[in-house]
Amino acid sequence: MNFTWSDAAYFWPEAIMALTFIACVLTDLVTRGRRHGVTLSVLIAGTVVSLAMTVIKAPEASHYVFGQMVVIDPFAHFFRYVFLFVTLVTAVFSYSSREIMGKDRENQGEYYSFLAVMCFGMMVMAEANDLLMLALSIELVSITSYIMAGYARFSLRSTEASLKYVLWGAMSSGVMLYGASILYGLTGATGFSAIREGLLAGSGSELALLVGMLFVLAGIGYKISAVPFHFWTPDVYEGAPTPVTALFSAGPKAAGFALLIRFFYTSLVQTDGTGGVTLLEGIQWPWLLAIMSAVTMTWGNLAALRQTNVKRMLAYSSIAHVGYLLMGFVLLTQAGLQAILFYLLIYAIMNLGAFLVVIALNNRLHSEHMDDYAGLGYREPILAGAMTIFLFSLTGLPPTAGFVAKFYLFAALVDSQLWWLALLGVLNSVISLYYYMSIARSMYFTPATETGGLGLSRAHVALVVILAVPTLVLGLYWSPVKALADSSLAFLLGG
Amino acid sequence: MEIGLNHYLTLSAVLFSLGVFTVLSRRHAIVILMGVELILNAAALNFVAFSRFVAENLDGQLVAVFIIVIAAAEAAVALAIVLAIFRNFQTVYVDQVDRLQR
Amino acid sequence: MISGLIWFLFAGVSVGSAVVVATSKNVVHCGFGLLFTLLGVCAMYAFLGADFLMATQVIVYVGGILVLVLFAVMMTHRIESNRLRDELVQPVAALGAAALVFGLSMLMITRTAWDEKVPGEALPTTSSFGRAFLTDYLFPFEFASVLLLVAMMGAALITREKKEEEDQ
Repeated sequence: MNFTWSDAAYFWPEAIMALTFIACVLTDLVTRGRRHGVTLSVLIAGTVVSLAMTVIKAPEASHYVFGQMVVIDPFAHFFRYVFLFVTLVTAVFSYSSREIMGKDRENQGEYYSFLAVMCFGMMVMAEANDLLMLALSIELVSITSYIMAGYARFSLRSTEASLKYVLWGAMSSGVMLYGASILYGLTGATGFSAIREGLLAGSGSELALLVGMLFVLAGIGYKISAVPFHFWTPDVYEGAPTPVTALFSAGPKAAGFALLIRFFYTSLVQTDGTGGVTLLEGIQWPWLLAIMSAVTMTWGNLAALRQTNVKRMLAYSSIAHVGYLLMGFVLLTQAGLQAILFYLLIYAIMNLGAFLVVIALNNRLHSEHMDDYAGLGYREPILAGAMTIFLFSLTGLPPTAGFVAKFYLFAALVDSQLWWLALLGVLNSVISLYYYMSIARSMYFTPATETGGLGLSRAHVALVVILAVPTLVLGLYWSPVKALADSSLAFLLGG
Repeated sequence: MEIGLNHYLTLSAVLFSLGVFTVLSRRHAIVILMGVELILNAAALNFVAFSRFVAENLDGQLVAVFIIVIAAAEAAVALAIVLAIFRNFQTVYVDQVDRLQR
Repeated sequence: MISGLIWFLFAGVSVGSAVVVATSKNVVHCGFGLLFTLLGVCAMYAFLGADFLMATQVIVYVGGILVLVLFAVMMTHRIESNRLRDELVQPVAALGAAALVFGLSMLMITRTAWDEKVPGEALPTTSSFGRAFLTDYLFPFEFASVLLLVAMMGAALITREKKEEEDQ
């Protein structure tokens, strides 16, 4: 083991988030759980310091910390930005959410500690370089998710979401570990790169490799809610408190993709040093993932069509977006992966924005039903305008960031001449236009039963606008962000 | 008779399948959790068997220890959630917990 | 010969009691079935020369997790009601899925040429474990402690009753 302190210095952002977790727990104890504003400021301070360290200590190559367990490279670095951003935004808008921070609620302070540890877990997920770290980091994020889904512990809906999540989640992580054990048996190693070496040396084990990989994919597929491991998503997203749902749809999903990409591209793929990739011999099932992608987006979109609860609709639409993202994964090209990273970042911004509007409205209307959104375009023009931008972006219409992200994804597909999947993706986008626009239609074209503003707090509206601005701006000028996403893949595919 | 790798793998496959059966066929939340424990034990047994017969290093045993840790953490949280469900719904049967729209 | 017979005895105990877990209608019987499965697996660890793991299995699994499970069973049932019973729902579909998984696993196990070696003498592993936890496995070890802390906090938080308005 080659441990050096200079390599360990690249681990500061994660270490700071772990310390923030402890600090939040202690703060909550000292303030006896009565002043959750203080805990929030501790969390924000920790996240900002971690963000600063991320900027200062940008890795320019792969750094192994703690043996080969964790690798810090530009790929993980890119995801740090995503996770810290998601954590920061979720923390701020959880503070204004009635569902978690309302007067009759308890344990408001501890909520922020779970946010901090979730962020830590997601960062490690993007860095895991060993089957053991894969399992442990997924487990940390999952267990935190189970707790947060059931955070409103006297709410029937919230505890039900939590139960469904934990039972299926526990099973999927068990299946994943069983698959991991088969990979260990084939190669005698648990590190991702050692697994590749083992697979290159061994032979005649295609079936075992297929079974092992399928089981591991079941575990990761559950985390990113790809069909057929998606069935928990609608119930959990609807039942969990809305800020938690927003976090689930942006954070753990991105972390799952990070883990999937690193695991797949480190252990099963050969690179030629110039960015080209080929699968190891004996693996002939990318078509399986292509079908998974097609089914995921189609099913998600068709199910979303029937929904009248906005939160549940966004849950199904998030499944559809996983389908789009998997399209880029199937290609096995650099362009495909670059498109995925860019899409994940844009998706985090626009999806958090849409959920933020849902939270703001829930605070006043106590409902997420589409009919209750009638006439909001006139009662709350700024909020409804921002929501329309987010919906345009989620559909992928110009001039929003969602359009650019989808454009790169489809361009990568066309480059690889995967026509049928590209066509299906376009068709699905058209379907999604219908249900996204039905929200807009309700806001602008259905007469309201009441008039006058809702009396939303200025800070809340300001936060929505802060998220709407990049959704528009990145749709017109995206090259720096795209360059960051592109450069972050260099060491994953080069080495 | 010599007990070899395949004996352990077979035993583990049996436990794994029984665990899957338990999870899919039961409606009592705690029994479903017991099924999950069977699956986790199958995985751990595989790791240890491979550690002895194939890899000839300790890595598999170490992973097995961490699997036990994972099982403990999962069991604690899952049982807490089951207790919360019992408090809210007065039931532990999964199919009777259905407030969310289908 | 004799050790082979003993192996099959323990394997039989594990499988038999796992069948009890899977099929018994009495939840308490399921719990005790799980107990004997765990002990059977523990014996397997002994056969495989994993002494530290064996102790961990007894202390954490049997002593900790299983007791927790049985506690939960007792806390969620009322004597007058029939909550200790659990029928099998959709047994055919579940049996189909389990048979599929089993068939696939067995096919994989028998078809694969595992790189099997003749194992050497089993040595005590505890000191190697200690060394591993403080060197190569330091990070997973610390990470697992965070995991356990989160699980503990979460379990306490979710099960807590409504706070009384005492210490104002």
